[in-house]
Amino acid sequence: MVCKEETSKYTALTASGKAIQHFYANEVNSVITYPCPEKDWKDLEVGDLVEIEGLAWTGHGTIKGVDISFDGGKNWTEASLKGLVLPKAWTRFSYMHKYDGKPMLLQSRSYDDSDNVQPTVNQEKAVVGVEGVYHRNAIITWQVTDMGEVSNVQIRS
Amino acid sequence: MFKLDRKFVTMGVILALSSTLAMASSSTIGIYHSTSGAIDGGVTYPRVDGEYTAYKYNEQSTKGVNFGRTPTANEIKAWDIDALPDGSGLPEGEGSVGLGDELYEAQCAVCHGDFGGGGEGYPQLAGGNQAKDKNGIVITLKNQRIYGSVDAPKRTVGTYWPVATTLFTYIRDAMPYAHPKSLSNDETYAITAYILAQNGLEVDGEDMDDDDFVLNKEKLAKVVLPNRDGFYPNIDGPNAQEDIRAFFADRAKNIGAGTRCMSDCKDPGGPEGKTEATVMKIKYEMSDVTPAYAYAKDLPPKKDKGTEHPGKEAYEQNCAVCHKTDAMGAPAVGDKSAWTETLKQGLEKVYENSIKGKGGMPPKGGSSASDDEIKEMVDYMIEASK
Ligand code: HEC
Ligand code: HEC
Repeated sequence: MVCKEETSKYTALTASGKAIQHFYANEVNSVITYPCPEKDWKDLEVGDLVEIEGLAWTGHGTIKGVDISFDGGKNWTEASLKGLVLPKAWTRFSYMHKYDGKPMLLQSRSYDDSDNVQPTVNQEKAVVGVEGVYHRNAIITWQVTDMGEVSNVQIRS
Repeated sequence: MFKLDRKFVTMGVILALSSTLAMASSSTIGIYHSTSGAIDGGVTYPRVDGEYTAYKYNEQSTKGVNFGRTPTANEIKAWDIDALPDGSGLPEGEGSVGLGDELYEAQCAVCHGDFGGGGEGYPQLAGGNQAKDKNGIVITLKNQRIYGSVDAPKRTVGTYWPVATTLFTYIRDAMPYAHPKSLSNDETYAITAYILAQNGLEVDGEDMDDDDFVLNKEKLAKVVLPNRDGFYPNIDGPNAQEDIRAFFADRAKNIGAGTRCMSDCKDPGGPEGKTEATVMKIKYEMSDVTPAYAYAKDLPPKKDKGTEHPGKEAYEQNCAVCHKTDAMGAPAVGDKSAWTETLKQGLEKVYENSIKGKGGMPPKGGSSASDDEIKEMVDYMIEASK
């Protein structure tokens, strides 16, 4: 913390009371952009074929793949990457889904070619705690109701 | 949209990189390391003696190319302003706690609160409990707000910052927020002294909390902050680079990592014996943020601008952050008397000040609007303050 770019905000204070410094890498991460709270599934009808889309990225290398879960992380299935896949760049992913109108806990989990897999909220919390402002790359969960409403929740044990 | 198989993608990247590089210079070849534990994007460019960089740098001859020029010695000196924890690089100068107190009240307290106590949304600079446990850890820094009942750890200069020289360089380069680099070195020493004094710190056993205490380069380098050892990985000594690499390579242990389980997964991070996941609602949604983030991701429909002042929207985007209230010392929009006062100098002068800047008002409010657009925004501000 000897540079102006690394004041109290940019270091990650962990539960030990000590903080990680010079923490610059943008870790492996992803988010589903459709559906999402701003673009919900309220207009879908049971039986519609719909594309789940999202973005993944990693500062450690190149995105290798993205998995999708519909049940909050118990079971996963592979999505496909689409478009250009370059190191340290936004990478699109896509999954064709037949809408069945049931509620779900939708997640995406990306992994890269330097062996990083996105952690769950629990895995991240156990190591870096919750007080760091940046470096939050835990799996994001969208709760989708039977009405197609989408909201942001966390899965924790 | 086209789809590429992963194998070909990686190959494509190597080919794309090496062919562009080959065009630029045949001696620099980007090497794509698709290896476990890469921490700098996996692309490396060798330089000399085994050193490498993560970004391609230009090796082409600049002869006959018209861009830039070699900086003069004075220009380099003006850029070379970093200071190390041991004080090397700090400029000459001095300032007293008393002067720092005045400057702080006038230029910093609006945001950072009286005595550095923190303002709404702005960092707290002084205060917090510096007491340590038997292992030398500042006790309150162990607070983690995982459950609602815990106080936030306070990250002030006294409880959290490791190095005092950072305070000097940070203030000099970045503060006050709206017009950085406006303080002289003497003034910066004075404010630094004041903030250190508010944190109850001392130099060589000498208490700083005295208006007559004068801080300079030598004394600042001697200030030892309580949380000096509160950071990891180690960044000092000849092995620092390897230590840092090793640290960031062991992600599961040090920064958190996931596992690629595909079915019947149990979340391994949960407390022992508890496997059933709980769904927690997020307490604060993005819509609670003021001003709210935009929701519509499609282009907004063209608004009927018939009844709206042409400068209103641009004002809200560029100026409202400071002009909504008078907290920043700016004439608040809607405050009739403030604007009557401002307009006494004549409209042309007011236009000029908003274009060229004045005091805490950055040129054009920091925006890249044209002169005419700025005038439209000013017209709106005046109109809305009648
Ligand atoms: C208009 C509001 C404003 C004013 C006035 C202001 N600051 Fe700041 N200051 C900020 C904000 C916002 C940040 C956080 C910046 C960031 O983290 O990128 C900050 C950060 C800082 C920090 C780093 C805090 C940390 O723990 O990371 C210091 C030190 C500081 N200011 C000192 C000063 C001093 C000294 C002055 C007066 C000369 C001053 N500020 C005036 C808004 C202000
Ligand atoms: C970073 C904060 C900030 C922003 C952003 C900002 N202003 Fe200001 N403005 C100020 C302050 C502070 C003053 C008071 C300056 C003084 O009197 O020393 C001021 C003063 C003014 C004045 C009165 C000038 C005078 O002659 O007294 C006008 C007009 C003005 N601003 C217009 C604008 C416009 C237009 C924008 C947006 C394009 C804008 N400001 C954005 C802080 C800001």
